[in-house]
Formats: sequence, C-alpha cells, structure tokens
Amino acid sequence: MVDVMESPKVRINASMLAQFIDQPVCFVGRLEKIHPTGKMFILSDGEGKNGTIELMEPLDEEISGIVEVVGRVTAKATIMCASYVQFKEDNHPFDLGLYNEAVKITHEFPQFFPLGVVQYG
Amino acid sequence: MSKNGFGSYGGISAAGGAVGSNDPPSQGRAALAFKSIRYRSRIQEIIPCCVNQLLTSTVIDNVFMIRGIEVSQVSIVGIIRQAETAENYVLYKIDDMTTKPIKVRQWVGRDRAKQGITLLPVGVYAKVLGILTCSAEVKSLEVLKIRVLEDMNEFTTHILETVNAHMILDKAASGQSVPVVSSEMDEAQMHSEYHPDFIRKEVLRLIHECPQQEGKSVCELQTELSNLSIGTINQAIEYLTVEGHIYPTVDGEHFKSAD
Repeated sequence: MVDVMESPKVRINASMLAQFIDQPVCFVGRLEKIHPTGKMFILSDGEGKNGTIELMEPLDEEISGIVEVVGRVTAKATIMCASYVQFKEDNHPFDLGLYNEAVKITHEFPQFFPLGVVQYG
Repeated sequence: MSKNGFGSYGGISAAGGAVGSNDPPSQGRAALAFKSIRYRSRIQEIIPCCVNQLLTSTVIDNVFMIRGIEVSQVSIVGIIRQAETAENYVLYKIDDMTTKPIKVRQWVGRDRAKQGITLLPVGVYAKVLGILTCSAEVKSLEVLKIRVLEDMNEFTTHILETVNAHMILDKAASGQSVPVVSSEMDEAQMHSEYHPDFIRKEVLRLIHECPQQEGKSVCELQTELSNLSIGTINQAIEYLTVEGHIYPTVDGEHFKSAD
C-alpha cells in the first residue's frame, strides 16, 4: 500500500473526482456538513459542487471553514482522508473561486506545474 | 516580495542614475527625461516554483536548470511537515503536494542558537525563499526567508505565479515574444485623430517648423492645437522630450526640435 503522504497528490475539484479514482489527491473546500457519526463530512469546492470525505476514525475536533483534505479517491468517487488541514481565515477570507481557477490552470499547463511520478513498492 | 509582478519577466531592470549631461537639468519635464533612462543589470531573480520542479531539476557544475532555464533563488509554498533543530541550523521539511517533501535548512548564528530558536509550527503553510543547493545528490534549499502564511490566498497566488513565471520564461527561452493583448480602446483610437501617435507627430511638426531661436512655447501650441486639452499637449511634450526629439530652451515652457 503506497503511503499517500509521501506520494505526489493532484489538486482537484469535485468535477474531477471521477477521473482520479484510486489516486492520491488533494481537495480544498468549504465545510458544508458533518455526518453525525463523525466519520464523514462534505466539502463544497470553488464551483459549488460537493465532495464527500470519509474518515477511518471519527473526527476528534470541531472543524469549520476551509479544509484541505489529502487522501485517496475511492471507487465511489469519495475521498478516503489520510490527513487534513484547516485554513486560517482569521485575518483574510480565502477566495475559493480563485483557488478553483488556479487548480484548473495547473491541469491545463501541467508542464509548468509538474506533478511527481507515483512510486510503487 | 511575495507578490512580484511578472508582466515584463525577461529581466528585472534597476533604475540607473542620471546619464551625464553638460546642460544642467531644468525643472519639470527635462529633469524627468534624464531620470527615466534605465539600465539593465544582472539582478538575481527569485523564481516561484513547485517542489517537484526543484527536485527534478538537472544540476551540472552547481548550476540548476528547470526546462532549460537556469534557476538559483526560488520561492516555494508548502506545509511544514517536520521541524528539527541542530546546533546552528533548523531543518524543516516542506510539502506542497507535488512530490515528496523537500528539506529546507535555515542557518542560525551561534548567538541566536544559544538564546533558543523558536521553531515554526508543524502543519501550517509557509512561504520559503531560498537558494537551491545539492549535496550528495540530494537537493535542498538554503533558507533566505521563511515565514508562516497569514493570508492563505498567498498560497493560491503562488500557484498562479509559478505557472505564469515558467510560461513566460519558457517563451523567452524559445525566442518567442510574449503576445501583447491590445485593448479595444487602442483599436478605436488608432483610427481617430486623437491617437497619441498622431498628436505627438503634430506637436513635433509645429515645434520643428518654429523659426524662433527660443523655440516654440507651450502657450502657442495650446492656441494652435485648440481642440486638444492642455493635459494631452503636455503628455505629448513629455514623450517627445524623453525620446529625445525635442529639448527645452530658455525655460520649461519653450522647446526646440532636436532633429
């Protein structure tokens, strides 16, 4: 099992989930809902579309605002979360729309923002 | 420093001092003309990159190349995954998701080391400006500046700046010029008599044809070109002075043609 944390992770938005099944990805979105079990939450991306994030263990803290999730895309096009980071928005609100544009640009020009090759074994 | 404009990315020029001249610069427009002469000097540029570009760069004789472009001073933005202190340096591992984390070394003077170094927290995004180095085939950064991001939008702009900078450098390296998008307003102006070029030609012509020794006065120009505003005429005069077509004579209000 390749360690997601050491692999390169593609930055994606919700529309791209289906194209990256089984690959390590990085998803940034605004927290919309947390499932009562605490093992699943929903983030909305810069285009307003939702991505479902699943956890191995339930959340042990309150999360809110913008969250960056690192994990692997499941066959159901959800993300199995390996780790997450909350973005500080105390001083400046995060422009999710602009981030979405940046993600699309990195996919349009992969030669100028290259992603590493996934190492196996 | 984090928001470099890359509009003219081929070389960052420094404003040089005034070019030596025998005429004492008079006030106003002439003084502006001398100050605006620029020199191109070899200033080291800081190139925004992603970690993968740094780790996959080729290195020959301590010269690092990314896609055929020489890089030395770079900036990256990523999460601090690890922070450790050693005797006179701090070692961080920065991860921007494009590949495995890169080692980043911040040298600390022995005095400061004795006082105790405050480590930056792990798990937060930071911006690093550093110099690319390679030792035992492992590439790392020597830190010039490292700081935690207070505004996460800087992280987005770093991604945009990286793609932009590498695109421009790529085009410059392959010899193409960066296409300049002409606005619609320029197109409309081209066909009207109020286009700056046309006005400048008129102003220059009137100054050139003036037989007086002290040259043409701005007042006369305003009278003769009554359909143009004072501001427009002044702009034309400034342009012609900077380009060297005219020069001031007795005061800042009289000009002669240099041709």
